[in-house]
Amino acid sequence: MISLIEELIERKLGKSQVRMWRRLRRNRNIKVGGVLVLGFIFMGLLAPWISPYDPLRGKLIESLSPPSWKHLFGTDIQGRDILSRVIWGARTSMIVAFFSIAIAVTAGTLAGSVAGFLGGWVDNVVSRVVDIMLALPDILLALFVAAIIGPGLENVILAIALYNFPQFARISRASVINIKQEDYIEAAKAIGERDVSVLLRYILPNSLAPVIVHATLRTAASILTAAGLSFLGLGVQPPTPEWGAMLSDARTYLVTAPYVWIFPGLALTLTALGFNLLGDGLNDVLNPRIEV
Amino acid sequence: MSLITGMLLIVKDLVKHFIKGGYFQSKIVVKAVDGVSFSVRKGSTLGLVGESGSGKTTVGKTILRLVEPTSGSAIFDGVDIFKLSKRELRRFRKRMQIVYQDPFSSMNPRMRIVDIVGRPLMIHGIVENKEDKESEVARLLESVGIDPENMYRYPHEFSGGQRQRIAIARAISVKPEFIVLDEPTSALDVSVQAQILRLLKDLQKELDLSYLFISHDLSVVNYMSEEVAVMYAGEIVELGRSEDVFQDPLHPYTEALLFSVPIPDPGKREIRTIEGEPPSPVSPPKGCRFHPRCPYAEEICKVKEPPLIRVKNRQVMCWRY
Amino acid sequence: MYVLEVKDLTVTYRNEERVVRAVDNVSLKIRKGEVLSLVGESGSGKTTLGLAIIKLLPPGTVLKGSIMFNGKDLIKLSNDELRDIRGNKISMIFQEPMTALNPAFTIGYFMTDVLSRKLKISEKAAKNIVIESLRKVKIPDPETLLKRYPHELSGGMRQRVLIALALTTNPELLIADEPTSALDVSVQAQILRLLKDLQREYRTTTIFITHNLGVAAQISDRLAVMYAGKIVELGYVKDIFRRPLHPYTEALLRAVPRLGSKRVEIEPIPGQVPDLANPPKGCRFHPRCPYAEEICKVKEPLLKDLGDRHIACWLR
Repeated sequence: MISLIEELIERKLGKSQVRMWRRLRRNRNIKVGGVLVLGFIFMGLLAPWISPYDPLRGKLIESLSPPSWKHLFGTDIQGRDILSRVIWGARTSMIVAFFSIAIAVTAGTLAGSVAGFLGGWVDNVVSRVVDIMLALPDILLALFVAAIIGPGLENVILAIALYNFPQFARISRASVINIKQEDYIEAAKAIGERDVSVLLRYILPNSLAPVIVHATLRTAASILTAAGLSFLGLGVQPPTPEWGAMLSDARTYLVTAPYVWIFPGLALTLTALGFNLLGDGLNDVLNPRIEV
Repeated sequence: MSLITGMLLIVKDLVKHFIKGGYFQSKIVVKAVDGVSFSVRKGSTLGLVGESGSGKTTVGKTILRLVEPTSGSAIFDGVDIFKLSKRELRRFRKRMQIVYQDPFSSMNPRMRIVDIVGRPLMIHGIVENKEDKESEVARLLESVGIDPENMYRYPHEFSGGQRQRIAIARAISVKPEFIVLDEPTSALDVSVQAQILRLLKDLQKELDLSYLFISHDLSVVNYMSEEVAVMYAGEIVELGRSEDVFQDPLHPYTEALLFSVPIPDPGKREIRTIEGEPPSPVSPPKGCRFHPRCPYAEEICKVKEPPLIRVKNRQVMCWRY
Repeated sequence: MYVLEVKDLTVTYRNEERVVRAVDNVSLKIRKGEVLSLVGESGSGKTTLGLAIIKLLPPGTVLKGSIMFNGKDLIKLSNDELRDIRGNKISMIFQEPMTALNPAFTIGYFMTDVLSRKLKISEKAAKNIVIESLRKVKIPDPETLLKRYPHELSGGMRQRVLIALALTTNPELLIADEPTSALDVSVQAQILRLLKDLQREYRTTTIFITHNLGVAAQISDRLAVMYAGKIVELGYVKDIFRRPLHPYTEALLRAVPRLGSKRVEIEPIPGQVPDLANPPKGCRFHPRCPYAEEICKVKEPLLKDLGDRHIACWLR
């Protein structure tokens, strides 16, 4: 199976990409992180099919029953199956994570790259705006957004995207400025490349490595932030299953019914851990350093 | 082309000052090139020799307008390059190219060789589709000694010498008339250097190219160039045919430079040294810029800058003449 | 008589699942007071050999053979014993003077600190030795220099400081790894002249690593030409330049452009330096050798002792 993938890569992308693939495979962080991340992504994707029960409906008779063969993770106060809610919660978390970071990366990289590439007043203006945005802490910004436009899934995505945007702007700007100094950029000018072409063909492909790594790490953070907001009641609204909200619900019976918070908590931890490991592994592979 | 003189490129009073310092710092002016004039004959090589801080690399880059000149003119085949608009300049680019010193950083690491050599062809409309591009790239790679089968590889898969060949292929792809060679062999091994120098000479004959050969290595410049200009602290201090300049140096700096080169012959000529280091381009010495290190310096040297005068079919900037 | 005796030294390291033999079965002896140059191109193993002697190779490098210094085999010594020798009895000068000095400390602090700890003497005593050393390398005002930071000095000055540092401990062996390659031509000449004068006065046994034949010609007594991890020719500098015996040495001399009255055509050596993880069978130079015969492709020639000259070739 692996060798099939390798052959495909070699044929479509060339021998050096195979080497990169092999290096990615060998890294333990990527392996473990990758497994966790893929696991949760599939959990979210396949939720409608693998979830044993409807996460929104519960039988009050079965309220707060401990884990059993019928309900592997037990049930919550409304009698809803926790396993199902955890599985569907993965879907929510993945949606939030993916969209918020995708927006932040796209907008941020665009702004930062253009600013870094053009320099001058464009750079000045963008940098000052980014600096101001960076000064705001994430929860505060999210609370602010929630206060203005109200709670809910879409608004959580917007708030998190807003918070992450300046980070990617800063990283891509720094990366672009760094790459700009390389000889091959000047060489591109010498052969007659237009500015836009230089940015797209020469600068961007080489400046994305730090962005990719940061994106992975910020995905972990965004999942936790979303959970935090939901915990406070400002994020995803009930009855939509969300791990942070589930933690909040479990506050009243922390000791009496620990299974209500242990499983969503574990899910959160493992997901964040997975993304962090993946990011670390990618960092090791994409930014190789000489061992001392 | 100036039919009278056969000069492809005539540079006059080229000046490049870099201004460093932002809003909150006092501005420093780096006088990288401070008034340089020379010409390159069609089909021949002008060598540009100097140490660090001499400004030789900046001269090469300003001629190609990769760095914008502060003042001066560069007349290429009758057209002043410095006065061209951005659009006209882009079209002019296919007549002049550059090969860099570092074969490791002069090519986009994420681009395959076929594109590195092929982009100039596409940009200037020399080929229109993928097949033509590939066949032309194959032909170019073969002409510089690279097996075209490796077209789809990335730069890091090649050795330094091979990369330099690819860089040369890129430069000649657009059939230029003039190439700036910025220390093209300084980062290479001796045996590879010999290969590349020979390749450059062969290509020059084959394609009727004119070169500006920039280097700090006098023996290499002597081998490659018919004429040579010696630069010091942003100025040309001596200019003439290489046999003349290197056999019978007139300027004290040229003389000192020649005697500093260790020859691969243990018996002959011990190296002679001069004191001091090349000056900083921010504050060059008053008067003749070489006077603090010159064994023949006199009073006038410390005060007034010597003019460039003709001596023995050469140009020298020294009070001794 | 012999300060250093290297016997059958092989240095290998791993590079992404391949085993590279950077130095392959090299033997040489260095007499007291002489300057032996290791000349070669990249991949020849000259720098690796120099680093192996002072044991500054990265972890994961495997050394086989013996390096006898003062009756002890350096390969077998413990880290503590090595620390006593390195920077003390065996000193090294590196290529990049711009990056070799810690930018956070003044020259004086750096040099006296290192020295007082190396020789286990007081800071005051160290300071005197440092000033003396700086004078030896013709630095005009040593006391003032001590208060300066590295970034205030030019490349040539920094290299002088590093040479002075290497000499403070009165080393029995000095290893200089391309000390002038990163310098301007005129500064290079100054440093070479300085090294020659120091050599003449103090007779420090030196291993001089360079890729520049001209530099080697000026500074060495004896010369070892290296190719693909092996020594192919070894002898007195004047002899080798006058009459190179090994085809590689000969080819190298013909490939270098000269400043001469006639424009002599240079002759490039065809081919490339071999991959050290997979070197050619037999004589490593045979694919590029104009005189190669059948035996060259099959059997590896050993370094033959022809009296004052040693050469590794089947045909001479």
